[in-house]
Amino acid sequence: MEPKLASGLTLAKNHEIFYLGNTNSGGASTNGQHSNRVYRYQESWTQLQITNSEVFKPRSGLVGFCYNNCIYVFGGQEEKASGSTVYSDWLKLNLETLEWEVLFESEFPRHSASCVLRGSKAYVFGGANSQGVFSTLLELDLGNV
Amino acid sequence: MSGTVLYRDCLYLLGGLKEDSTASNELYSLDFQTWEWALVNTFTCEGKSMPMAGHCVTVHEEELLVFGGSDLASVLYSNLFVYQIPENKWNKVNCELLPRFCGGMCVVGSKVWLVGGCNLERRENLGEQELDLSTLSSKEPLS
Repeated sequence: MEPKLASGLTLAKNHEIFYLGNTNSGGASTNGQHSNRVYRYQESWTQLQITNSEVFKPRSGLVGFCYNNCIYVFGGQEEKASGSTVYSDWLKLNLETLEWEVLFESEFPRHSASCVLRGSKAYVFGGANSQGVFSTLLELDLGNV
Repeated sequence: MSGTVLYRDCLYLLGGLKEDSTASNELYSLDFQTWEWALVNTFTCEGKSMPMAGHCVTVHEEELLVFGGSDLASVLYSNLFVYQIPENKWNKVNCELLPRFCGGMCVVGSKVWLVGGCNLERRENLGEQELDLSTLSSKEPLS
């Protein structure tokens, strides 16, 4: 079964928290609507003003991590009345320039996976798409992107 | 919909959605030195199996913190659990938190943050809750 509910991505970096995707953190109901917003919490939540925000398509169920003052994200899904899109892209958000960069499209569209960073390699476990639930482990070598 | 953390060069994987659409209560480890998976533990609370998916996990020092999620049948969890990794022991923290599905958790400074997620009736973002790390000292071992 492909899970129907997912959410945004929460990441901690030093004393900051980042929240990407799904709904905004303003408390307003956004039933079923996905977001491509990125929020940063320092002493309060602020939405980052990203110059090319359209590169990061609205989604939930994405995974990611912080590395070298950048946020890396993978996958996720966007559900619409017309159908669901499951993403397979790796993206990088530079936290200095506030610009998204598409790293590459992988062969593994999936959402609701989980992820750890080990040194300069990221490992993504599991996830799902319309074809089912996965138990595979993907590796991204950040030295190669 | 599983939760993973890195601890001492091992990936720890808790719960998640299984092929048969049920949730898992299994805790696995993947040793990055040997590339071998091992079933470390099955999560039970007071004699009851605790299958979960859509929960959030984070690691703090030598403890795996586990919050929220669902058994994908009828229960949305609102408990905070602490798994002491070296001791292979589960604990429950006495605190009141909103049930949360597919949220996120992180430790920043002296606080545990629970961010985002929803409940099963509304897809409204639940916002955030914070908990002082000192609250973890009230944890009680699970039988």
